[in-house]
Amino acid sequence: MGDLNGPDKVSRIEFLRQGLSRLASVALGLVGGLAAFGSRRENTVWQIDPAKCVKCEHCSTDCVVAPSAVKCVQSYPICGYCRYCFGYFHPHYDELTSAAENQLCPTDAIERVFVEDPYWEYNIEMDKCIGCAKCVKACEDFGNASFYLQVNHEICVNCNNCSIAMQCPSDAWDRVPYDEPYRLKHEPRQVAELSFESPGKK
Amino acid sequence: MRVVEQEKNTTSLAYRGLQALAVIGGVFSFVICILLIANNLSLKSSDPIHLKSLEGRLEEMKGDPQNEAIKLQIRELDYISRRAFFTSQHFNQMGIYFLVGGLVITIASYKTLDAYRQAVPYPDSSDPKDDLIDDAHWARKSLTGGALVLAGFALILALPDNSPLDEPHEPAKKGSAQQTAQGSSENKSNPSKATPLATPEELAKNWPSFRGPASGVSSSSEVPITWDGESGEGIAWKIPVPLPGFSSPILWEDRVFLTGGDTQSREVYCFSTQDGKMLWRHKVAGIPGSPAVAPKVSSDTGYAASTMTTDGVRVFAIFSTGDLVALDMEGNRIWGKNLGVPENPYGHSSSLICHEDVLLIQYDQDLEEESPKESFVAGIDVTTGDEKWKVKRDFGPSWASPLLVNTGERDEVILAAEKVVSYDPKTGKVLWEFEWIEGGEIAPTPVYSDGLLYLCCGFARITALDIKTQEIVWENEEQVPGVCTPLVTGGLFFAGLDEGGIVCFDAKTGKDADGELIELWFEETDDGFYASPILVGDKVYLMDRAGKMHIFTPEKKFKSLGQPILSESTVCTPVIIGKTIYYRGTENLYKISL
Amino acid sequence: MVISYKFLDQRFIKLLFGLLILGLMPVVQAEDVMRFPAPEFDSNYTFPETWDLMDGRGNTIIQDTTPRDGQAPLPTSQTQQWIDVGVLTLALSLGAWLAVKRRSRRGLFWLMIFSLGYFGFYKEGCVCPIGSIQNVALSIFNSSYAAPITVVIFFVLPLAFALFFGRVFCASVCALGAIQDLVIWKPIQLPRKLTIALSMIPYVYIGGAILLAATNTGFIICRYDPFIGFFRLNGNAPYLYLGAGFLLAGMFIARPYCRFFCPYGVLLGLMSRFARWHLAITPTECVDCRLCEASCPFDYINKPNTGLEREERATGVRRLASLFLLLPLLVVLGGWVGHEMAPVMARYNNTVFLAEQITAEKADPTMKASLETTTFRSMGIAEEQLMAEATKIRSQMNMGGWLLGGFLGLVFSLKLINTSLIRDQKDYEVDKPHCFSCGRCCSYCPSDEMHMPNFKPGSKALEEALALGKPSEPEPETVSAMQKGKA
Repeated sequence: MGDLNGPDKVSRIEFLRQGLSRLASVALGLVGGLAAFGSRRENTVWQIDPAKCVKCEHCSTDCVVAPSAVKCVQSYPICGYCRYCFGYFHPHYDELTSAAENQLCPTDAIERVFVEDPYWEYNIEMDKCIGCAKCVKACEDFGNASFYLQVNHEICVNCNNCSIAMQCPSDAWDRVPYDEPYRLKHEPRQVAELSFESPGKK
Repeated sequence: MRVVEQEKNTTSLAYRGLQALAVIGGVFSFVICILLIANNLSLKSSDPIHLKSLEGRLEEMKGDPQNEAIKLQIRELDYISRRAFFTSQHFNQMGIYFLVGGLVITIASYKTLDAYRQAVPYPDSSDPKDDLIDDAHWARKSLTGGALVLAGFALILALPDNSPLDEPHEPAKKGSAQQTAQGSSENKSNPSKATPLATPEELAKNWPSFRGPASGVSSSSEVPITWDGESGEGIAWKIPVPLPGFSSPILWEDRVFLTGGDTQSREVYCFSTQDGKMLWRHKVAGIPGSPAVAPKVSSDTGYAASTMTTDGVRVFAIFSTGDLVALDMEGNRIWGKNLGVPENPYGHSSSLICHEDVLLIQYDQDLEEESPKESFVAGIDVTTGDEKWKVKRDFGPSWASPLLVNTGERDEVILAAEKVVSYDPKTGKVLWEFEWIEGGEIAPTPVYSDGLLYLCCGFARITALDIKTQEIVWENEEQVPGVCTPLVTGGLFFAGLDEGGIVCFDAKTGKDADGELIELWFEETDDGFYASPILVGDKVYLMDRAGKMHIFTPEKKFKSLGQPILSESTVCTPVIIGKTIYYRGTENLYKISL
Repeated sequence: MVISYKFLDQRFIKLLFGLLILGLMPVVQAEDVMRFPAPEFDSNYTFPETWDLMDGRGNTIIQDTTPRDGQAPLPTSQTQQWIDVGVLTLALSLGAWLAVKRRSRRGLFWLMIFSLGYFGFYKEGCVCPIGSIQNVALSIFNSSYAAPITVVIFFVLPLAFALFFGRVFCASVCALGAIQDLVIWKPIQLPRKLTIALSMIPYVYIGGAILLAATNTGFIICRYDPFIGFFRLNGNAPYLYLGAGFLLAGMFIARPYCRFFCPYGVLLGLMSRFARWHLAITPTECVDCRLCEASCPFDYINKPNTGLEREERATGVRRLASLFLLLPLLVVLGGWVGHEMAPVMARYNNTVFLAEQITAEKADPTMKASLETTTFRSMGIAEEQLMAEATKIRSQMNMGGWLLGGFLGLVFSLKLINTSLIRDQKDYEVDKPHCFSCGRCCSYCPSDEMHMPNFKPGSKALEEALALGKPSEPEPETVSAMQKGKA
């Protein structure tokens, strides 16, 4: 055992202690300063980029909140108000009615309201929606892509590291500035050229 | 227990009550906790997204749509499963409130009990005769033990672990070996650098690129004007092309080359002109930087839309994946590179063209999306694949092909897009620029004739431009071809329109006899045009999308010379050479001969 | 006019033709175009605004179709962050005052309850200084991420307080500590053999967390935060199991997460070691009465060791010398182990994982393509780009593995040296680097005239206790007999 007892040794140890103490404060200041230097004043929140989303269902299964904080959103200016909505009806539907066997949504979260012939309005009921993206996928594959997923910040607890983002296969999740917490599709887009004008061959 | 409770308080009613409360709270919390865990386990199985029983019933319904009983079952199942799911989630939500509530009660009553107990501390009964030596000895031992367990655990995880990234896997090894073997065998058989370039005469005799050696004018004078796909009349041979593609065939001596591709693979084919036999096919694979899976493209651009070209020694092909390859005439790869996956809403379609020993590539991409992609035009060394020059273009995508022009003073390569730019094909120096159209989708290749450059942009306009001054000579916004590249001959401008109809303008003025800015004639047709017209002697050959060849005279009045038909639709411009037409349908390659 | 009419006409024909084709052909993926034209309503229909369809609680309001400005629910207010910083500062200051100056366990307890309510249940456990380690690490090592300044303050402030006043954060501000502190029921004294072996874990945890955060791989501290489920009042699977497990264990092993896992505790310990104004057991001079000996449920009280038999000086010096010689070897050895672990850790990174899957699927064509690889292939990114990215992260992880392993080797050898350096301990003192400053021991000290809830001055209990604590203590048999009588 090191017997470090002795008058001058004590002061030497004290000296060492003080040195280390200063070193600790300097190190703390350095790390804090370095982090503060690259820091931002604003906080960030999590959001989905609908352009990158591949509708894989992770959003409905991986959220720490249940049902998920990710919800489907309907953009009315983009919606075609189709009588036969690809997002609403199961591909094997029997009739165009809201009976369970005709619906694509597993939780009956889409409401279908008649507007005028031949237009129907489709509304998402947020409290039923579990963010499974079935309707989003169908609407994007066959329709106007007016359904899309967004994080509802009323429900999201803004985890330091979003557990859905960790699982997202397409990097569609990222931190967005607090001031712009959504990526909403508001503007109606141009009607498709229907890829008829083929640049294929001249 | 090293704290002694004072007895007098432990008998009081309040004390007993608190004690009971603590116990009840604790048991309650424990039960809730167990229930929550059970609920969480059952939640996993009640996921409404993948409900096996429901999916099965839906399948049944598909087979028997009239069966109301199945429908009722589905409705019931759906309702039950949804209710179970939301109830479970609700229970999770409520359960945790109960759990926390129970814990609060337990802790609060237990902490209040502390106040009653008035605990008096006593030192440990046994005098701990601390043994410093033994203590330190044991501390070191257990520290070492802990560290060893940690390190051992790490090594057990790490040592048997093999990341597939650590060493190149087998097929890749094989692939690269094959490639090098291929390369060396090529180099032996292939006289790459030594071979002189094809002479202009040789080029003129062949069909080295899209629309032939002379901008849509064939060297032959007499080719068939009648044939019939149904009966086979006039058809020398017909051979299926394995993979689809909208690229037009090219021809060199006794060989026809074309490309095909789908999401899985891209290939180059070589057919004998003699009997249509496929001489070789080359699968374009193993190119560094090539994407594992092809990018999304429009179904009517496909993966092989760009027409090949040849310098007489090598053939060059480019695909929607950005893969560019040079093969020798036997199908061995001389070089291959990936230009970066093109960002293009329809898919890359600009065709290749050679100027002396430079392969010219128009690589216009969609710059709107935030991506490191850039549009460019490049001159590539035909022998090595190295860039001789590359010029960045700061505007969006286009689908037209480069046009080589000799103005009498110099060679120019002209690229049509939003901005029309002329480059020196040797150095890439910009010779002139012309701001033409903003945001147009430009697919027809520009055409040069007699000092004027003709540009077409579907839905916008035809522009005739003086190539020296870049002044607009005439413009017309009607009857504009969107895909078909026009033919200008004998002072007349001919084109087929996407939605059908053949149109003829006065190439010099764009005006009719009355001086009005309007077409000379317009001939209705049943089908639209993607292929481009070819002049053969005194006839114009123009194939519509249904496979009907419109043959007419290049005159100020429309005069049909025949409409022979094939039973196969097409978008490709034919090769017309000698007495023969080579024509690619959607599935087959045809030779039509006198 | 003729021109524009014809233009429209062309378009219309095209549209019709297009629709026809659409009906016949497989649909091509076209993400940014509308396949169906916007409806032209005859009735006075107006769009309901997106997000306006629901109120904050998810109830739909669909009857009302009058146009209003859509207002999507906003995240928690930005100013809230600064309020949190203010509350943290106040709580730390109050905690420091209560621990160092007032020596009040009761005060610290109620402050702890407040913090549990505020930082735990109200703020739902986020932002917390423990997790902020990762934000700071990512911010420093990855230029693409910038930590919010409030998070940096959350990281620095408790450490700064620890540097001067000890770990008052642990005692009174940390919600994770608070919830464990509350459930302490019958704490058992763990053998030192075990605790010292376990004391390596927080170093592994913090090193791993920093490495994984710095490479933008993931935030494991947050991912395995055991109590976040309670704080969010959310009984969902992984958090519930972890939390319930820790609380159950915490009834017998006091504050198990704090003592054997907490990565932030490592940093706090480094700081509080030098704390000048640390909570002390006794306000005056220690009389070595031994009464406080058992007061600490965490065993963070150093006992006097004067008069105990010591090793021979020569043996001690020789051992120290050899341990110092061993140090570089252990550092290198640790580094090697860390480097061996690097590929395993790298797999935790999504990019590397994807690259490995892609490579594996290529090597074995019979393998079923996973969701990740399918998605990646559909995105049209060059494989080389992915491989280059993966290689970069792997080499970072390799470097990090050497550093982490080396660091752990260093910690291990310093701990070895530390156990062999036995310092003179005259009085009962808190173990400064570890002590949570919870203030329990204060009320066990008879020298503290202000705070003696356990003894009334001059009471029989005090007399008895003091008598027991005297160096000339009664025989053990007598004591146990006495205790039996009392119990």
